Amino acid sequence: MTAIYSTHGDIALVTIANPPVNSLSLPVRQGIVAGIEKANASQTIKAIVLTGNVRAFCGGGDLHEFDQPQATECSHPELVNPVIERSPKPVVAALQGLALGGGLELAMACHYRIAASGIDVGLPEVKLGLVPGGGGTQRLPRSLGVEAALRMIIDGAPEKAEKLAELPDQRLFDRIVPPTSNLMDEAFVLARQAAHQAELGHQLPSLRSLHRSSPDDQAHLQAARDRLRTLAPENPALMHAVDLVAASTHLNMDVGLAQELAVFLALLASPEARALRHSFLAGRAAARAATALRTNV
Amino acid sequence: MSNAVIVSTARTPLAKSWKGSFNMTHGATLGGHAVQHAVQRAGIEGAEIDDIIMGCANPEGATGSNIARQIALRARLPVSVSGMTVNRFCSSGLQAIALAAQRIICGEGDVYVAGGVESISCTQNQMNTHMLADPWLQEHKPEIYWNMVQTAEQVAQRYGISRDAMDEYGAASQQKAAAAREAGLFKAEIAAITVTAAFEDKATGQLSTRQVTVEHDEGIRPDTTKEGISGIRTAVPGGVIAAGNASQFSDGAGACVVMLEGLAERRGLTPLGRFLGFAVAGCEPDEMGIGPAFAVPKVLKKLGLQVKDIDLWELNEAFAVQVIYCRDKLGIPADRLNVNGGAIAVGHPYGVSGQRLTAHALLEGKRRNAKRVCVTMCIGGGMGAAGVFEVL
Repeated sequence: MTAIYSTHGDIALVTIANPPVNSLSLPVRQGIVAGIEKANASQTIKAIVLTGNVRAFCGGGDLHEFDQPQATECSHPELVNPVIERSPKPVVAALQGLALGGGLELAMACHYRIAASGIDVGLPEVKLGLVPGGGGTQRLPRSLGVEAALRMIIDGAPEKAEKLAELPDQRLFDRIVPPTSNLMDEAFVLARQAAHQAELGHQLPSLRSLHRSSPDDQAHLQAARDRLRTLAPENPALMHAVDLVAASTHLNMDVGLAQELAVFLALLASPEARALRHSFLAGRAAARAATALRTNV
Repeated sequence: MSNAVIVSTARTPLAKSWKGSFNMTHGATLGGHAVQHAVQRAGIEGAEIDDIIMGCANPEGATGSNIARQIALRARLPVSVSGMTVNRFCSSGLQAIALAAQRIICGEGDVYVAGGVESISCTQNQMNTHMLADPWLQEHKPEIYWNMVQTAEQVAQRYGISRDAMDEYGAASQQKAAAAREAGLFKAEIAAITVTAAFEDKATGQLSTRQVTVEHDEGIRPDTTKEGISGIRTAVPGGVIAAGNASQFSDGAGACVVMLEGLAERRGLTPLGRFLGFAVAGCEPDEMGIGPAFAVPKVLKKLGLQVKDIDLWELNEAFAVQVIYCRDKLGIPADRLNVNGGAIAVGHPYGVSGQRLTAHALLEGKRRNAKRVCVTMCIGGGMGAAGVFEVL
């Protein structure tokens, strides 16, 4: 139920281990932070690889925890992401299975991302009446451009990593690994290259430093607002999400992140989001119960 | 006295606001396109133009910052060509043409470009509403701030015009416009344009941008019937105004080259029509739709003409209810009125409509051997405008 630290020569491997989908529970968040700090304190480690398992890199926030006091402890927007982003040693996210919500946000805080072909990535928060709260609305537009990022955030539907990697000038993925190759082998190769770059004195890459905008962005954002105004007035998260993506085009990253977190927390406490959360968890519990019944019979 | 003639016209197709093709297009792009084509069609040099006059009812944001000056530059005209934006709401396009003609007649200049631009998509949902209402007016004449649907409901109620009559008129407008488009009757006035727009994928609901070439007005629905639109929900509960009997929100731009008649003759140009006269008149703001009933008699009296002397009418279809009222009040024969449909089908980009109707009346007037045409419309705030032209 945490993140496991291991070493492979001069590379540290932090493996999220919280089945079934590696959700970002408090022990996982603490485990990631501890792993990054341990690697940085080590004399021999030169780079860090963060990964999950074949089923999931990370499925995002733990919904059961959302209404508990520990939700704000060692939070991923305020502590985990900054620890990764500010790590002096390069952090490579090795994505397999899926990277959703907070999981994709975690990956976007890393310096490099390598993904197995065929995996699903997405920011499904709006389906729960929320906006991404861990930098998703700020880092995804910086990595994919406004149009694709807005589509993913507003729809909340996962998309295939290799499809997104085809977008012109995308910076979400540094490498897509085909099924014929081994993701972790490639991740270690990338980590060693990153360590070498760092040793040469190159600054670690960060989505934070990117500023991408197209002349059509503002018109496109407004078209999205106009559409949502009539299409989905019942989900206030959608309009907030558009505004936050708009903020990413002209605000300093930290100001944008602060706005995003404030909106996320306000929505989290809203009756609409509570109801959606309740309904989602109840639906899942009911499905499990149904499966259990069938199995018993 | 010298005369002013219209020697060319060009407009973008009219696109549905928000869902349509111009939902990401700046006003300068729309207007620049129309002006560029009108100038080309007139065969004049850009440097000859004395001024660009563009009407616009929401002159802010994407159509703000004196959009006419931006349009002049966007049309690749020399910097020496100036630009002026005028706003008289829905008559702005006609007002611009009248201003150009008047300036020619009084000798200020010889060549003007006049028309209108409107991007309802890019302005109407983000209007500056700071201090929108004056407290005194709010107390003494609050109707000045009514929305247009309210005024249309008022006209229906005050003059006893039924939903049934409006829907019949609305469906007929669609059918006439569809037949006109089919017959290619809008072709000569339209200049196709290629833009980037955001469209919703019907299957996935996803919004994505793509480039599109627009050649036709987007609001025309050929299969419209009175029965089909009679069930559309009214704009306000318990009312009679509904989408089928009101003009459509749309975006676009149009421009005419207006020239001193003697100069056009010397150039061997074939003008579309001659400006005869123009008038505006005020009425109660709560029934702004009946404005033409005041403006038309005013301009006709000035010209020594009567309703029967006008062979073709373009009375802007802001709402079917006010067209019906004005038609019956003025005694306009139905077979001379809006013969190819109107704003209910084609759309109503407020500042453009006056230009579109003027050009269409002259082109259609020529096809019908009409001598005189009248273009008129109601105006928010309680006004009417009317212009009379001679078909050449």
